[in-house]
Amino acid sequence: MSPQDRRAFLKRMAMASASAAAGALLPGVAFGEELDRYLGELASADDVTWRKTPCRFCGVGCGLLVGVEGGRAVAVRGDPDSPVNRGLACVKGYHSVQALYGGDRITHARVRRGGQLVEVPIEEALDLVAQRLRDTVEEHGKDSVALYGSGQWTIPDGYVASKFFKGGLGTNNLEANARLCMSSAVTGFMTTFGMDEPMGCYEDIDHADVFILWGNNMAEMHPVLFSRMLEQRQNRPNVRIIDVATRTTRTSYAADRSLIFTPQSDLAIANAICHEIVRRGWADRTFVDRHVAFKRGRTGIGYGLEDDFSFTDEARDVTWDEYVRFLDDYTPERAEELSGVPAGDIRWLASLYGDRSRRVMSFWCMGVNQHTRGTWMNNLVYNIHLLTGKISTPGNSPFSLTGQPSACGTTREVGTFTHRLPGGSVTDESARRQAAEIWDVPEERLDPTPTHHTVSMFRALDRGDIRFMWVQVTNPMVTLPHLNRYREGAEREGRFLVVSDVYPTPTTEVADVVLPAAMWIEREGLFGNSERRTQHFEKMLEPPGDAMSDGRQLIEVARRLGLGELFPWDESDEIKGIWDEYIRFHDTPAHRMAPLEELKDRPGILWPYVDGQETRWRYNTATDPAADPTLGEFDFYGNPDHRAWIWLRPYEAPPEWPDESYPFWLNTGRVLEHWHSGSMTRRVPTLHRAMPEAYVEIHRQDAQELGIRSGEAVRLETRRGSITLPARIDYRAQPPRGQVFVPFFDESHLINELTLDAYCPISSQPDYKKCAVRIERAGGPGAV
Amino acid sequence: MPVCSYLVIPQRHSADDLATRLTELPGCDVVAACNRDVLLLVTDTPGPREDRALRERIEGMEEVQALVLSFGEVDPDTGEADPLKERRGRERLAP
Repeated sequence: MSPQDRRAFLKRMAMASASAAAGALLPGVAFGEELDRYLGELASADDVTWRKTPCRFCGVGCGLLVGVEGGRAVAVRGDPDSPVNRGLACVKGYHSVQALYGGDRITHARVRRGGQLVEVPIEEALDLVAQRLRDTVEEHGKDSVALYGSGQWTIPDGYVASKFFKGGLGTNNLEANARLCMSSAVTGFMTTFGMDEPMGCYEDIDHADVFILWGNNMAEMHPVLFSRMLEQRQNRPNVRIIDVATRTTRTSYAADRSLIFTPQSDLAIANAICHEIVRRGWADRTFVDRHVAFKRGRTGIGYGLEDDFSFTDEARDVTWDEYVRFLDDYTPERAEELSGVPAGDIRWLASLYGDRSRRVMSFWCMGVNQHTRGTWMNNLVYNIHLLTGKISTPGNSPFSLTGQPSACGTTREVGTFTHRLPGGSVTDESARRQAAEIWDVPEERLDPTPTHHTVSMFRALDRGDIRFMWVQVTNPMVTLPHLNRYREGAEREGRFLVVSDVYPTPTTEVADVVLPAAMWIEREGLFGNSERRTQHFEKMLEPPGDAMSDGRQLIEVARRLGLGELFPWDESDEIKGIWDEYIRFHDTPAHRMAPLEELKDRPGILWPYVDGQETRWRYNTATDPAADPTLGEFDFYGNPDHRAWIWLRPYEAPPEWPDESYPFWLNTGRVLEHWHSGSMTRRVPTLHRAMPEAYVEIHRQDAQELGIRSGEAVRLETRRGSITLPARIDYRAQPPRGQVFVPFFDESHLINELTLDAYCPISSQPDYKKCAVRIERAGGPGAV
Repeated sequence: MPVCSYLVIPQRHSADDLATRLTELPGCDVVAACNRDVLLLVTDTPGPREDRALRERIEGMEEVQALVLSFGEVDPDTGEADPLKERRGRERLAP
C-alpha cells in the first residue's frame, strides 16, 4: 500500500472508530449516507486482505472483518454479512487488533529462578511444567493438580483441556472463570428446562415490543445488541425499553423507564410481578396446564462462606394452588418495602409482561448471575415468561447474555467445569461411557465425583490440597473475590503456578512459569456466542516469538507425560481433527453442530443444526427438530416430564448488609472501554486514554456529607481489605444514595481485595455486586 | 504523521456553523449526525506539533462545547508508546 493509500485508509478507520464511540455515548445516533460514503473505500485497499472472525471480546459474538497487510492486522470493520451485528462494531471491537501489539507482549517463556522470572527456551519451560505436573501427581495424587481456564478459551482449546485433565490424568480439577460470570445462568437453565442455553436468538430483538433489562447495563456491556434494540424503537413507535437496575447508567438514560431497586430485592420484584399476573388473570393457563410443572426447592440455603460448605437442592412437586399461596407473600406493596420500587411501577411492569398483545424480551447478565441467589433469580425471570406463555416464539424470549466470547461455546458446551464432560455430567454413567468410548480411554479413569468449583479450587490451593495449578487465558489475581486470601494462597511455599498469557499481569507476577500464548487470530479456532452461534476463525497472523495456542501448550505437555495418543493430529490439521471428534458428543437433534467446512464459509451457525437448518427457537415444535409435535405447540424435552418448571423461590437477604461500621453497599463491574481485567484493552492507546484508571462512583449527596469532592482520593474499606482511589460524582453513571460502584479493570486499584467470596449455593458463582463498605476521604490528590 | 478522530459536541444550535468551520480547516474531515447535535471529526496533520496546534485551535472555537478523542495514530511505522509503561512503575518480568 502506498503511503497515500495508507493515510486514506487510516482516516477511514479513524472515522469508523469515532462513529462507534458516538454510538456508545449517544445510543441511537445516526450518521446516514455521508458516513457510508466516507467509509465506502475502506474495503477497497489493494494490499489489504480481509478475513472474517468473531470479535475477541464479549459474548455477543459480533462478526468482524480484519484487514491484514504485510503480516500485520491493520484494520477492523463490522461484518455486514453477520446476522449478529450487521456491520456494526463497538469501540472495543474496532480497536481489537491493536490489543495484539502492546509493547510488552510476552513472546518467550519465563521460569522463576532465584525469585526472578528469567527467559528460557520454550521447550525447556514445557519440560519443566511436565516434570512438576508428574512429580506432584506422584507425590500428592491426581487431585493435587488443577487447570483453570476461561470463557475466552477457544472451543478446541477447551476440548483439549478436558480431554487431557479428565481423560488423561483422571482428575476433575478443571474449572474456568466462566464460573464467576455465568454459572448461575447455567443452573437457571438446567433447573427450569433441564438443558443449558437460550431457547431464542438475537432475531427476537426484531420482533419484541417490550425489552425489560434486569440489572443489565447493555449500553456499555453489550452495545451492539443495545443498538439493535434502539433501532427497533426508532422504527416501531410501540417499542418500550425498561431498565430495572441498582444504579443509573447509560442504559437507564436511553431507556423509556428506569426503576432502581435495593440490591438483592430483585427476587421480591420478580415474585411480585408473578403475583400480579396471577391476581389479574393474565396467566396463560392453557400454556401452563400443558407445558409447566411447579417445584419447591430448599430454602435458607446459605452463602458458601465456609471452606467445607456443601449444598444439594431438591425438587418437590407442588400444585398451582400452592404456588398461588406462595405468591401471597409478594404483593407489590411488600416488594416495594424490600426494593424501594413503588408498587404502582411493579404493577405496571406486570402489565407489560401480562399484556397478551405485546411480545416481551427479558435480558440479563451479571446483575442477576453474580448474586448469592443467582440461580433463583434466573428461575424467577423464567417463571414470568412461563406464566404468561411468552417463550420460544419470535419476540417472546427470556435471554441470558454472556460476558465472554466463548463462555457458551467452550465452557458450557465442551464442559470445562469440574462436574462436566462434553456429553453430560461426570456423575452420569452414560456420559462417562460416551467419553471413554470417544476418547478411547478406560471408563474407570473418568472420575464420577466432582471436586472443586472455582472458589473452592483456590481455597484448596491456599490450604495445600492443590499443589500445582495451570492458569490459561484469565487473570484470577485481579478477578477473584476476597483476593488477598487467594493471592497469599498462590504464593505459599510448595505451590507451583503455571500461567499462559499474552501480557504481564498480576497473575503472571506470582507464577513459577509463564508461557507465551498465541492470541485470537494468531491461530485457528472457534468461539460460541450467547445465542448458540458457533463461529470459526482462521489463522491470519504469525504469533510472536515462541507463542503458541493454549491448546497446543497443553498437548505438548500431555505428550511429555506419555499421553500423546490422546492427541494424534498433526499440527496442520489439528483443529479439524479436534472439531470432528468433539461434535460426536453432540450428535443428536437437540445439539447437533455444523461441520467445520460450513462454519468456515459462513458467519456462524446456530445449533442444533439438523439437515442443513439452524434452530432459531428451541422447544417450539414448529422450529425445533428435537421437539415432539404430538405434545402440542411446545415440548420442553430437557426435563423428563417434557415440561418447564416454575420454581417457588423466595426473597432471602444477602449475607452482608450495610451497617453502622460499613454503611454503604459496594457494587463492582465493567466499563465500556475495557475488557474484564484490562490486560489487553489497557494496551490499546485509545481505550486506555478514554478510561485510564478505576474510580469510585458516589452519589452527590453522600459525597457532600462526607466532604468528598470529585477527583479526590477516597479510601474504601470492607472487612477484607482497603484501597484508595479517586472519587467520581455525576460521572458516567450514578449510584443511588448509600451505594458506591467501582470497576474492576484496573490492576492498580484491585477492588476485589474488598469483595466477599460468598456465592450462590446452587451455581457456586460469587456475588460481586453487594457487600458492605466504609468510605472516607483519604486526603491528597485523586491520582493515587 | 498523526491521524486522529474525535467526537465534537457543539454548543447549542451551532452544529451547522461548526461543521462548516471545521471543514474549512486543512486536514479536517467532518461528518454530522442526522438526528443529534454531534460531529465526527478526522484530522490528518504532518507531525505531533501541528496535531497539537490544530487541536488547540479547535478547542478554542466558541461553537465547541466538547472534543473527545476517539482514535489515535496506529501507523506501525510511527507507532505509539506503551500507554501503561508510565503507570506500571515496575517491571514484572526480568529482561
